[in-house]
Amino acid sequence: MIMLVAIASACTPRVPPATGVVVALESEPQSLDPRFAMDAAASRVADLIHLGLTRPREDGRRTPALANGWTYDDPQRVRFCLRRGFRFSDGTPVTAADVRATYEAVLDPATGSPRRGALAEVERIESPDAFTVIFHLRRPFPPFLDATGLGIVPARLAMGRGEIRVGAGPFRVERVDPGQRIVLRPNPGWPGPPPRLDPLVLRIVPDPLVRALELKRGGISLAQDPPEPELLEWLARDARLQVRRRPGSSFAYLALNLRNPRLARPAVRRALAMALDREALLATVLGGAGRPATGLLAPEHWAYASARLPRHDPQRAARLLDRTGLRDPDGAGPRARFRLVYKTSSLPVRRRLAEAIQAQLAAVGIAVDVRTQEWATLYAEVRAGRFEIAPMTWVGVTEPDLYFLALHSTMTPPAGYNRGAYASPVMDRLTERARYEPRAVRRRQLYARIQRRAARDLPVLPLWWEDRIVVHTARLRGFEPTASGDLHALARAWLAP
Amino acid sequence: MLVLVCTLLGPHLVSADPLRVDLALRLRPPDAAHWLGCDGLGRDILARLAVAARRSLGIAAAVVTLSTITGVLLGAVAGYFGGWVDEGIARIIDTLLAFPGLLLAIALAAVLGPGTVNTIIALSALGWTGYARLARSEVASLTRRDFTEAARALGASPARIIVRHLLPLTAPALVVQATFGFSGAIVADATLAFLGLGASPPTPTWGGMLDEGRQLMVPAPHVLIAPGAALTATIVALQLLGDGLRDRLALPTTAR
Amino acid sequence: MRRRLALLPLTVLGVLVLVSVFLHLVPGDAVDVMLGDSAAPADREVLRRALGLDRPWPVQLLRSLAALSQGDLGWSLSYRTSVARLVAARWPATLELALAALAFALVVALPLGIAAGARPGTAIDHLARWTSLTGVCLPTIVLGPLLILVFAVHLGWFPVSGRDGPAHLVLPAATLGLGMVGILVRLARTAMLVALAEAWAHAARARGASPLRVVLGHALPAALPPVVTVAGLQAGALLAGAIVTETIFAWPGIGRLTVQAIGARDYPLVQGCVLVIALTYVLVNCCTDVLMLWLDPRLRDGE
Repeated sequence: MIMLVAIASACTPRVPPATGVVVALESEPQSLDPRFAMDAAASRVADLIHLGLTRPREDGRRTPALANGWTYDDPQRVRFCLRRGFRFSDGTPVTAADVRATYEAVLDPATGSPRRGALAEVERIESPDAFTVIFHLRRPFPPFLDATGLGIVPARLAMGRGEIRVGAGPFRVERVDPGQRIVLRPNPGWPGPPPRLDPLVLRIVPDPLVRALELKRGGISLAQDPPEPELLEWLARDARLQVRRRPGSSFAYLALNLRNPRLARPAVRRALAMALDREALLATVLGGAGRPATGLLAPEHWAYASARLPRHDPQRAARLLDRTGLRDPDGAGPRARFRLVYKTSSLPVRRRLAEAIQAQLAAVGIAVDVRTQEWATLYAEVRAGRFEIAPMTWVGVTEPDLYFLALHSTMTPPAGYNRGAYASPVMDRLTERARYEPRAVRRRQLYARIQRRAARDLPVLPLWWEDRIVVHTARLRGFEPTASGDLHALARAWLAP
Repeated sequence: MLVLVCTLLGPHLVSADPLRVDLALRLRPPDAAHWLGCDGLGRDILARLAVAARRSLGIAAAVVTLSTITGVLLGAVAGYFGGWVDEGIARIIDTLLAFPGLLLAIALAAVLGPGTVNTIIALSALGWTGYARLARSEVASLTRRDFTEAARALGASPARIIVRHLLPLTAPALVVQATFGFSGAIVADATLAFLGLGASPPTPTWGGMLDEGRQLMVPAPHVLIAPGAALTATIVALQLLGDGLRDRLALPTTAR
Repeated sequence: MRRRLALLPLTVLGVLVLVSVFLHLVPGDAVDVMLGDSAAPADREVLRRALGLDRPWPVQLLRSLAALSQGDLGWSLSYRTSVARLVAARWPATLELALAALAFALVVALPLGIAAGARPGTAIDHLARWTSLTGVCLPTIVLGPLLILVFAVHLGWFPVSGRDGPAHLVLPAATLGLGMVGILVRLARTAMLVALAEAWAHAARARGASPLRVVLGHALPAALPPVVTVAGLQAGALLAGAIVTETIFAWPGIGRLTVQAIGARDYPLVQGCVLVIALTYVLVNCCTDVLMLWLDPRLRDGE
């Protein structure tokens, strides 16, 4: 005890300098290199230190970033004009040669970049002058634009093996304390008004409860992905903190394995959808921070088309199941029509969701066995098809071509995301056509048909679109949370005294 | 004693269903209908506590029994015989202790699936080494003593010496370790739940309830207080038991 | 002693083999984790071959062991940087935390336990027994945030998490240390009781030695061995990376790195971490044994 008091009186806690802001990261980014960065934490940092040809907009379309704009010389050739005045954090100007080198590095199999798959249709890249880049595609491929968010790195570093931290974003990396924090400072080469947050520290704080406590104490100034809803209320009551909430685009759903003979029947899937009370689940598990979803694309998305899901009606669900021949052997008694294995990760939120769903399905006579697994194991099991139901989330959906990757019959893992082995010739045709359709209006119509069909067939059970919640110090001004959790807005934010 | 009684009779005493989810009752503080309040899914905490008691205590008892038997046997043998036997066993102990327990837990959970039995196996597989080391060092030092020499000279077999003479002397320290091992096993369940490897939902365990409670520590402390208090009470009871046992066992040495 | 040192590599080897076996038993593939979902199968094969992951696992194990014997810890699959660098960066942090926690535990536990053993039934004894329970009743996952809530948020004495200066060390060390205080106090007390009840203790008292002298001079050395053994065991566990404490306090240590590496099925990194942990653990054991020999001359006969 004496020891504690002595230390307490001797040391004063260190607080970040008045103009600096500390942002919490849930995990350590595995790489700050845009060629390799895939995890969520890495994307957050990438938003701040790197810049690509385009950036995503709230509606899923692209907006020019490094590029001034782009034109289609013909449906297979996309021409980008680069803006002048952008510099890397080491001072060198950004030119077409850098863009080309970056993309070629990613396309090279020897680099082992996970982003290579998205650029599969790129045949070659041309840089006729210092500020023009032309991409030659094998065929017209609208989803290509989605991959142009790739952060550009200097040409001389692009083919190297080491981690590239030099970027053209608003901030540059000053220091990395492994496992602890990343210190950013404004990039001197940033055109336009320099960022006013100096330094910008990204601290790794894995535990959500501790993040909340840090916010309370002032150890961090901004955190996304809040803890329990009740904890959020506690934070909201503090006048020094501000809780920002806006509708988000993260799509939470229940993946279904259609190899299972019962789940293969559309009537059973519809009954499951009717048995779930999504409003109640949303209120309990997320504290109401979400909107019940009808499909992959949120209403803000340019390709969104409204579709209707079966409404919550347990009695109808029970009758539907009876009609399919899966009767309840003892009515309201403990024996079930059939069992389903629900595999989930171990996060408390997930566990709670699992138990709530278990209870709701039990009400219509379906027994659910919940199995919690460590994340990598779960992921491997789902990809291998060893699951029946599993909750999943798509974060930051921008390109509707995801429908192809997720629902096309040839896109079962490891080729794509069709983990449930859904196979529908109609859906196959629609998604293939939508992929390569260069006319925007027509493309939109195709996706409308796809969404309506998905709502009828229910290859997955949509749950909700999660709201984006950010808690930050009330002194932070000029920061707007985005639907995808992008932190780029910090370049324009500042701290009031 | 009270705790033991409650444990055994628990599930029959409480009328509420520990598994009944009622989302409307989420996180209700204690009131007349629910004496200890409701948890994050509206389930009655008192009921869950009672059911969890049986499960958690069962797991802990199994773990401690398995660990102690294995550990003490191997440790005593190592300590008594010395030489290569000792080295061999000591090496095994060291290897296992240096092994990251988490990996074992994940591996077991992945291969066998999570659940009560596997939790017991995982915790025992790692736990026996502690008792072994203690037994080994105690037995080793006791073996050098005169009375052991005397017993050997009288022609007693090693097994007899170990069991009749040496083990009782090591008992006090072992009992202390065992009582901690017991509480440790219950608490380890909470850590496993934190890491996502505990018993499967919706079965309640004290450890799992502690883990849920800690997330809600600030807004809804009653969820944490209930299992915490139950655990503390149990551990106190165990300590008292352990003290009594140990004092009883330590007495014969003073008669010398 | 020499025999012990000679067998050291064997223990470490045993650990590495065990780790390798388990990592390959468990579902999950490093390449999948690295490349995610959208990579073409051909790309996966290329990467797999480049990383040497297409060979059967015993072959992989042998190759990595060969590299290890030359001092090459390999290249991390998930971080894409040298394993040695990753481990070396985290190692001091874990060491710091472990030593601080051990110091905390010993400073609190030893005096209490010894005093309690010397005067059973008195106030000191009861205080010792009750204090020892705090660390045991509450798992780290509860104790940590509780301490943070009281000392960091409400009282504001300490920072919440992270590693930035001496003040940051206090709460995590206390959390980790309190877990050990319980058993150490009890062991010390028990050992003291047993030692003091021995015949020669009575004899010494009869000879007129002061109670304090009896306690410190005679009983203490006899009582220390079990305490030292267990403390040594605990130290090993601490060094193995107090995973939970590191996670809660955002402490950049080896434990968390190991967990992340396991989660990413990053074989070289897991091996590197485990190697370092195992080596240290074995070394700590040696130190404990040496300490034991010094404390209890009777053990030396066996050598």
